[in-house]
Amino acid sequence: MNLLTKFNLWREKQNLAPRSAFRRVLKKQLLFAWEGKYGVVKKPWFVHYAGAIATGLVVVLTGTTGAYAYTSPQVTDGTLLYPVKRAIEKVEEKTKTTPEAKAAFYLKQIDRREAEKAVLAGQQKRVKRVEVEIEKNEESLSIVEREISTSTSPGIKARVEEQLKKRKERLERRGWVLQKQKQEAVKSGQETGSEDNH
Amino acid sequence: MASRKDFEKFYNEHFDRIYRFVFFRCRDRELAEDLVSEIFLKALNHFADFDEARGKAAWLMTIAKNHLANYWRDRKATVSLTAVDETGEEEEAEFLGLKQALQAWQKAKDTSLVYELLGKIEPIEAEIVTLHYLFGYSYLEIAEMRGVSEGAIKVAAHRALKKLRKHL
Repeated sequence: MNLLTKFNLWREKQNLAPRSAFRRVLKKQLLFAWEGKYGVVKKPWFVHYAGAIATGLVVVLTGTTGAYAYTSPQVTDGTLLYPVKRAIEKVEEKTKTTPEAKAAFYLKQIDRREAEKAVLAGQQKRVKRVEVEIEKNEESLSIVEREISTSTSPGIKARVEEQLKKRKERLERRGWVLQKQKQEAVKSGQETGSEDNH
Repeated sequence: MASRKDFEKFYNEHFDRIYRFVFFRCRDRELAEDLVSEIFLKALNHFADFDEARGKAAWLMTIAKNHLANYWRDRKATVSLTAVDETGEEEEAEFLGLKQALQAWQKAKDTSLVYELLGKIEPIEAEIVTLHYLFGYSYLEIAEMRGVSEGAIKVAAHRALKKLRKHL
């Protein structure tokens, strides 16, 4: 159909349109007639608030689930709510702007991972992953330690130093173990080589 | 059981189209408003009896056509509702009403080609074009009204538009 025909048809359609006032008035009259014929159906009071009640329930459930996930050491890697816990922690991390606040946060994270590690050790699973998380937090802590000012509370400073000392000892122990393993590997390699020579 | 909300939705969906149809046939706004009010009141009284298989548009159109036919009969219209065309055959009242309306609109708006062109094509095709383009019914609804397939309506509409283009 060409454009002119389309336009002419559209224009005639507009000319045939009803008045809006008539549309509104007739609707009111008909709905009034409907109520007169079939009566007005009264809904129970809570139906009017169904939307608000449902929204409220969702908010409360989300809030309590989130709070439980965040605070409970039983929520560990592999459980359903663990991603919720980690997401809340990520958001919390973003809110820490000063070095002191960051240090306190990483110390708290280490405590939380230790608590999870204890739960997982009891269940004998996924301990290694939690240990990796602890080390990550310690690394972040060591970076932040340099920025901590002298006026920081002695409590936090002492805890930071203690945690980093533990880390140093653990790394040294691991380094010593690795060195020992290397030495043994070299020794056994030498012995095997001399046997081959013979 | 149909509810007030169902009827309200039904009214919102069909009011404009039925008004256009009635106004097109009677060419008088005040008369069209009275007739449309009466048509919707009839629909309201029989809303519970409505046949789901038929489609709401077709059902309401049947009420409207019957109501218009009753109105013209009661008014003792000067033109009889059956007439003989050039070939000597009787035309259906339905299509004669459409033809008269097209001619009357053409006289009233002689700058518009639309009504003249619609008068030149087959009555069935003119009805499909007016129902779809002037009143706003879909091809499916028109098919339900006429009791044929949607495909047949689309083919007829396509043929009608081709003829309209030829006459332009």
